[in-house]
Amino acid sequence: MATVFTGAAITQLYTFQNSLKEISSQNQQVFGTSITIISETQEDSPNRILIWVKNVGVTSFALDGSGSNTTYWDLFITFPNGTYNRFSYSSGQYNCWNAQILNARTAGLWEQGETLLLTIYTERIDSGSYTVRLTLPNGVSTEEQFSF
Amino acid sequence: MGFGTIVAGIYFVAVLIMSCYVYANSVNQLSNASIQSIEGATSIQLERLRSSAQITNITLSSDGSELFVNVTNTGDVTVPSTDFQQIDIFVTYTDNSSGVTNTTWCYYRSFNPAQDRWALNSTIFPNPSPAMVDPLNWDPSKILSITIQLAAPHHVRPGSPGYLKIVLPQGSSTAESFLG
Repeated sequence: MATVFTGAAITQLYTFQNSLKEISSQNQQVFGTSITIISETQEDSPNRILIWVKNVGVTSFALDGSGSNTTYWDLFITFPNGTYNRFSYSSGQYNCWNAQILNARTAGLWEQGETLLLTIYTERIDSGSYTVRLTLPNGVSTEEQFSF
Repeated sequence: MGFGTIVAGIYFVAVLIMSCYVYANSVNQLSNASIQSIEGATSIQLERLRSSAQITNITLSSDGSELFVNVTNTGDVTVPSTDFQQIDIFVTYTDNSSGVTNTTWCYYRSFNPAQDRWALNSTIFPNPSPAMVDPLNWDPSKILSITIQLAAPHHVRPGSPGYLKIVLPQGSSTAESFLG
């Protein structure tokens, strides 16, 4: 009986320890994440908004081009008329966005100091004030207001 | 008290001691990791706050294809030459060929600049200057002289306003307007 109890207790202890390790690892990733929008512009044919985002934290993010990672990124834009839209990551050119690391040291990995170009395809680009918000899978986000 | 009770008691005490050890060890590890994370995040923010630059001069070539820029490191963080490729340069200007306003991101190239690229100005020596100490790196108060080459035929329209923004690897930035 005592052996069974001891075995169960030790198993639970290690589960508890692993949970704490996981929490610690997640905290490290969140604390080490910092991104900032450094510039933006618009282009036409097709209509698109270009956003440059810099990784100024120590956490790196995989961006392998398949969209497997970026599917969990959230990109919202508030338009001049007050409406907002969440854009999906896609390689297409209609109401979606895609990304390219401009100065990657390691292919497919967005590391500290590197700049990511987001191309957001939208139906129209009116004059006025826009707000863009990018949220990473770990909940860290950056927001910028700009106008065209 | 029977033998079984003694064994069970020993087991109980052993489990209790082990539990205390695992709990204390886990909490200690979590605390240390959290402290290290916070220290890391704080040092990143501090470095960003301590880094700054100031554009001191912008000259445009007569054909509007090249910008010659002097930037002073006004912070107290050294930018090693190996990090120059993490410096972002944006040029917003009116394209002389199309009349459209463009914003171009320029990438660092360690030798002569190519289209939409920037490089250290090879006619200036030393660069960064002065170079009495640490000649390759852009230390505080040193001036970096750079050349930005715009893609042909998208040169700056004469007389039109332009805007230059330089973002350091830490994320702080400086900007200045110029006239085509």
